[in-house]
Amino acid sequence: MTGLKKNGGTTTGNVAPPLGNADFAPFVTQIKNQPTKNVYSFFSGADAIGFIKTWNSLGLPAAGYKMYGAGFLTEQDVLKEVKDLANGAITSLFWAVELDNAENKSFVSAYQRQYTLLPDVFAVQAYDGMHALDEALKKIGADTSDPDKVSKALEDVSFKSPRGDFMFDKNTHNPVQDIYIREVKTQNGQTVNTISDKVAKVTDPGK
Amino acid sequence: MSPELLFEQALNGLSFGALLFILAAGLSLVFGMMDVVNLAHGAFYMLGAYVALSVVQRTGSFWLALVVAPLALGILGVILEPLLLRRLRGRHLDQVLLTIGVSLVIVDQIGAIWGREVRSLAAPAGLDGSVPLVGGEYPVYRLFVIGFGVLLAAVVSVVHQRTKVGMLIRAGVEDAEMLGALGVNTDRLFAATFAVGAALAGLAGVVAAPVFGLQPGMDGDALIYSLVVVVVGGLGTLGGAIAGSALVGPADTFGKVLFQEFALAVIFAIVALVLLFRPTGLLGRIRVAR
Amino acid sequence: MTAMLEVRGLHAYYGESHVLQGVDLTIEAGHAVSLVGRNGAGKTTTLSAIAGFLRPRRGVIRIGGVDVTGVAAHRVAHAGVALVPQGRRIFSDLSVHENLVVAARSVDGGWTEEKVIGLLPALGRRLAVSGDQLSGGEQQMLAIGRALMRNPRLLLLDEPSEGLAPKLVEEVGVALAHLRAGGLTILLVEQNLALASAVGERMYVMNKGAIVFSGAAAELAAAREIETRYLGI
Ligand SMILES: Nc1ncnc2c1ncn2[C@@H]1O[C@H](COP(=O)(O)OP(=O)(O)O)[C@@H](O)[C@H]1O
Ligand SMILES: [Mg+2]
Repeated sequence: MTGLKKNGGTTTGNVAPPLGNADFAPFVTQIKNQPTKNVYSFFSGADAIGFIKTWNSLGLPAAGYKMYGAGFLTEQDVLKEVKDLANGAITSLFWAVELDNAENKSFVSAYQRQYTLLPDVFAVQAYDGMHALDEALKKIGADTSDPDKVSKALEDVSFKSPRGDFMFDKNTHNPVQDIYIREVKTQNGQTVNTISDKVAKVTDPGK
Repeated sequence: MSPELLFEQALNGLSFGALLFILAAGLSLVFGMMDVVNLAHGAFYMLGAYVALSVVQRTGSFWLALVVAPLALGILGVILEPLLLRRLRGRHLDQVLLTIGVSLVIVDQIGAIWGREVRSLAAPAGLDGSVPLVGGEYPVYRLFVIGFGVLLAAVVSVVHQRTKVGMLIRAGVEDAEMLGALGVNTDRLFAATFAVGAALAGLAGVVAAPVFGLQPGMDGDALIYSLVVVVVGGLGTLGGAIAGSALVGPADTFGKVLFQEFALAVIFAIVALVLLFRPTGLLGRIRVAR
Repeated sequence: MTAMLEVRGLHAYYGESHVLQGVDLTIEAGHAVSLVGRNGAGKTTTLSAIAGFLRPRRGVIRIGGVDVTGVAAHRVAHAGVALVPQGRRIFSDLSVHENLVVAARSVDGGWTEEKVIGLLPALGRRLAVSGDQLSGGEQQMLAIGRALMRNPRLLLLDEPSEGLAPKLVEEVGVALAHLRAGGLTILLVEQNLALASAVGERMYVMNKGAIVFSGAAAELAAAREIETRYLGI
């Protein structure tokens, strides 16, 4: 929101369903009350599915509305349920199943072999978390007797992740990573996030 | 808000209310007849939705699911009542606690069988599109839900008022013990009532699934809303379930829109007001404790 | 000959409170018996135990020789017992007609809705009216009519005169006299001694959960000290 304003954008209003809300129709209808057709939303999981299905059934795509959001809105856990209903949605996230790098390719194919599903971002996060820990432990010879040494080693970890180059910001301990702009498309019968742009080496400002 | 949007919101509210009626009717019936607030009602609803998911995955037919899931829940009800509730007959609080246990077991089993991730169910062919309506498009399925709810309310009302079964229900809700002294087997009546209550919960689960999806936690939401409906409408009366859902559905919808920050507060404000001025609910009777 | 109703050594409790302390009662088929006693003596509790509302802890209840001790109310009803309960317990949501048919058990030549209305004409004019619209007298007639629809062998009545004007009490008396004349076995619980002795050939007096006197109506009238001690006359 702050970023939008800094770059000359404005918001016209906001609609805030409570978390775990079952019926999205009242909120989606209310979107039609707004003067803009560009809608940014922050949902994940069940809420994202409910929102996207209701968005479609109330005819927003046909009326020219465009869906934007944080990447969790259209992660694979959501896309496998809503499929092409999410097509055209634009989101930003540090990963996408379509990312073209060697680590991601082998991660995705290994995951599919194991679970017959496309992986989602939560799988990547868990995988990277374990990877970081593994690297750190290797560096200190798996000697965990001194907790400070373990956390120092973790801080210095850097490796190639499915999301690209991965390292920690020394100040906040957030990852420093590339953020991808993704658009949902259905191709070869699979609905996925395709990469349309990238913002390199983003440091999360939050502490 | 423009008139078109107002109309669309009214439809949103009515379709939600129609769902609430299907959901709350069974809870109200069981309470009226057996004096048991069945806290497993939400779990029955959830189970109905997941059974429907399996039926649709296997056969592709939503309409078959609409029959099979309530049937399955009815069978579960007719087993559970004699097996568990009957042993605690007359101990209403213990029975309520028991239903919490039943609900925990059911929800856990659903997780074990169907998994814990979010699922969705498509509306049946023919009802999965949208129709042009003032203000844009409106989903056919939600219109179907309104029609289905109204039709069910009408059918249930006729059964309630005009048939032998309805007569037994009205009499049993008022004084089941007396009905027993007049030769009616209340054990069987209670088992049948519990089965019908569970079947209605299952039916609500099927009808709701294409709108709300299937996910862990859906049982709790359903239970809370159905409790709100029966408290507002009046415990144990069919008219109360109709009035309660007709009020709570639209009130919830407009509450969410007009007072976003207090979306849930609107519903509970209604509950508080009703309890304050009409403690028996809009159409509730004063119940004489025996 | 087996008695229509036989109650032996009946003990019943509400929680820990020991209400019936060894009740003995016998009614021969075709007889009418009245059970009297002060408020709280245990009369209603006795009927509740017979009707199957309350499971006795000890003792035996037999209907026409069949043991019905502690069985469910509907099984007592199927054994031929019908109850006109204290407070009438009319189904207020049901019409008069429905109140009658919900109880109906048809028997060749037995009670039907028409015959009940013949006995209790007040009901005939109110058939479509719902139970909660009836006057106290009408409710009482309906409670009696509803019990008759069961075509019982044994009719239990709990204070049918309670809260009724003298003229209505008289009507109840006439109806009961008619039923008795028709050979129905009757157990009438009453506080109204005049009605009790008019209907019952035999009188039982109850006090603190036990029968303290039994005999013909005339014997009770002669036993002044029983009347003063247990009935407060
Ligand atoms: N439901 C009940 N719970 C506890 N005690 C009761 C209940 N009903 C009656 N009693 C008590 O049992 C005793 C007998 O009551 P009851 O059989 O109603 O007397 P009666 O009909 O002779 O007036 C009284 O002391 C009364 O207070
Ligand atoms: Mg009494």
